[in-house]
Amino acid sequence: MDDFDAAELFEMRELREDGATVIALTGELDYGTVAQVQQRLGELRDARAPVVLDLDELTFMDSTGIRLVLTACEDAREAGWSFRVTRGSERVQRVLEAAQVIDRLPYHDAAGG
Amino acid sequence: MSRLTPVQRRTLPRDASAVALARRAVDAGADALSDEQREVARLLVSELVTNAVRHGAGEQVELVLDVGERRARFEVHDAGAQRPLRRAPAGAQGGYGLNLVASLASRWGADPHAGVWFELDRVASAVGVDVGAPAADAGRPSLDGALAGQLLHTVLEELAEAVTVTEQGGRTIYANEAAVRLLRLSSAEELIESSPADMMDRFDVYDEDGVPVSIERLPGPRVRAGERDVEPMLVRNVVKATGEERWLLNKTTAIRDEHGNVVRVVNVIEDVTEAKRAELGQRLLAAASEALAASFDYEATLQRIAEVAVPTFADWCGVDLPGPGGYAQLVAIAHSDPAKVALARRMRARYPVPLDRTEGIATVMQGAQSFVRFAIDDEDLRAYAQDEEHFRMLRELGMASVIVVPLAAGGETLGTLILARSTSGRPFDAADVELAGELGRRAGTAVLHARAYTERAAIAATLQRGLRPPELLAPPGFEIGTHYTAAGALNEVGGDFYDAFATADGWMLVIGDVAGHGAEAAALTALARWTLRSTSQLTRDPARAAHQLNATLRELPQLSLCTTVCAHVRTGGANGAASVTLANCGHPRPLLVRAGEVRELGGVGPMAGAFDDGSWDCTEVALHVGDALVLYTDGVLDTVGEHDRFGFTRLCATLETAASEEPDALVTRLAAELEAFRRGPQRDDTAIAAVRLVGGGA
Repeated sequence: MDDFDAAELFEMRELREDGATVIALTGELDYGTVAQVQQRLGELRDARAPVVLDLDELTFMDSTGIRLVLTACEDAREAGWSFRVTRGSERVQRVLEAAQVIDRLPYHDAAGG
Repeated sequence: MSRLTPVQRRTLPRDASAVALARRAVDAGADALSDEQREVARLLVSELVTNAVRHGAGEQVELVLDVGERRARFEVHDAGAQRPLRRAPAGAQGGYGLNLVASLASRWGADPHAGVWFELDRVASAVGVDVGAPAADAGRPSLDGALAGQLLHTVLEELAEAVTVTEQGGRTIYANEAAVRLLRLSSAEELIESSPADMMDRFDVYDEDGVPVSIERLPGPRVRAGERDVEPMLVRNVVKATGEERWLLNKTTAIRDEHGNVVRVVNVIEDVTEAKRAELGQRLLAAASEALAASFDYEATLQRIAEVAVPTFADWCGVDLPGPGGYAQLVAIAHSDPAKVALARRMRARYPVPLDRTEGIATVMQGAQSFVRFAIDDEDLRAYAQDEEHFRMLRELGMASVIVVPLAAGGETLGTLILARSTSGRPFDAADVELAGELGRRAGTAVLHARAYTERAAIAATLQRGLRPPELLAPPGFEIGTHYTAAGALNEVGGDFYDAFATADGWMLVIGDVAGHGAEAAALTALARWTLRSTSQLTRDPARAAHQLNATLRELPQLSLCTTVCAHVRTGGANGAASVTLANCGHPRPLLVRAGEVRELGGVGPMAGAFDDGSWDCTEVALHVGDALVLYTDGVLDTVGEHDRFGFTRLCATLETAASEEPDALVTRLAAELEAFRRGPQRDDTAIAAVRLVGGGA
């Protein structure tokens, strides 16, 4: 059971929606799976392409995910880039709440978002 | 009974894959945990392993799982030093991992042997009950089931406030760590096995007014008895065993069943001792400052110092100063039982405290920062007392706990402040010593100010006595009366003056008024008086005296003006008559009162000090036996009444009415008339001098 494939745990898909790039994450987001998301977000940021990060299908997220989201938020503020997130799965929300960041994120469904 | 899992160790490669592998290990090894608790465990293990992979050292990461019945323990080891806090990234987005560990674990830590570790207390095994999951906020995911219980339990155990849960019958079914500490118990079980009355019996409980509180008055029992909206109650709680005092805020919430009946009561007891002490201390110090600022009177200040601490801070308070004969002198005392003030004075008179004693007041008088005896029993008192009577008096006064601090100002010990509590239930403690010290410093400063002020006031009074016109002695053959008031309530001196002194062939009566009021004017009047006196004695000539006064005032750097009348009186005329030689420098003319009639005498020359050159003509007047000569200053005429000034007409009328009276009575009557006439404050200095020739003199 040590020989699991990271792809079984985590998947990143990309789709277009209302002029934004939606990056939909499925499975477990942690230190082992975050790199590809980081890289893709960097590219889209540099291209100033509006992004919605979809956290609704994540079955696990820890502070690595929080760091990813908060860093993107900071980049967005500094670079005038449009970056938003979805509310996330219940597990994601519980982590965001425990880390006391749940009220600080730019949500895709929020007014003006 | 849950299955006990042996300690499990999993070795993982120290790379990015380790985090997910560690979660799998938790899933496999901690299956005894509830789903929600396992979710917390997976999250926190992920955090620690991520930390080890990102910031640790070596090829491997070791995960240790130890799932016990009461708690589950997880350790993560790597080859690096175990300093998770230092390893936490310093950037703006760092620190969340360890914050999650800190907020969700029951306990966590790091050390070289145990690695970085955390524990989760297993709810089912803790002493306690399901006190109900928090209601979900709309739009927020609810923390349900065991995860909520886990979080709640963690929160409760970490809470600084004591929390207990009691059943309707009064039995305690839960107490958190803080409650165990606050109630001075060894374990929650001890509380759970005690009845409320047993528990209450360990403490003396008072309300804010110092009234003992019975158990029925506490919020918990009131809520159990069915009361609604019970306000939080602040009580002073004294641990009987130790005498320790705490201020506790008791808040109570009822848990009701679906019918609205109270089934359980949650008590939250907050130890607000520090805040309450600080508040009481601030209130005391504010009251002290206010009281001490209220007076510059030295003795009144000392008494206020004693009073300010009683009864809120101490049951009695005494102020001692170094007294004569090497003894402390009790200069002020306040006692919550006023009847005992006399006792204290009697005791100190009978058993004075030598300043070379090696305890108590004496040591502080010698420079110690404080002398403290938190708990004094009869044996201590007996050891201190000089005899049985002394012991009896000390005991009656009440000396269960004592603090002595210096009345300190500018590094100097002026005296001592002794604060005492009479009963053993409320001993002082270290915080009280600090407060007493501050009280002593404030009082010391006030004493220093009051003493300086009293000294200055004494100097001023001495000076004023010197500057103030003297009581005049009547020359032989004359009666005399004088009146003098200075404008301004605190002033004894002003710009008006009079004087009478002997010359070689008679005597001289002078009255005058220098421009201005107060101390400066008084200094100038002294100059004028002594100039007139010395010149008159040398020359016996009022005109020469006026001339010299003018010259002296002209020599002063600032314009100094003075009006004056000098009257040189010589007796020895026919039928006992006397002659008066008058010189007038711009002053109201003297009055002659003869046979009930008043007339003005002489001419008026220039005011002294106004011009470099001036000449003053003298007027000669004969004085018959029975005649009175009245000299006055313009303060008499200018006294302001309801509609107008007192004026010359009223002056004459008053003098005519009182013409037959002795000069003393005459002047007193005039002064009384002026006082009756006056409306508002006195604006000008007022001087009156009257002499009557009665004859029979040399």
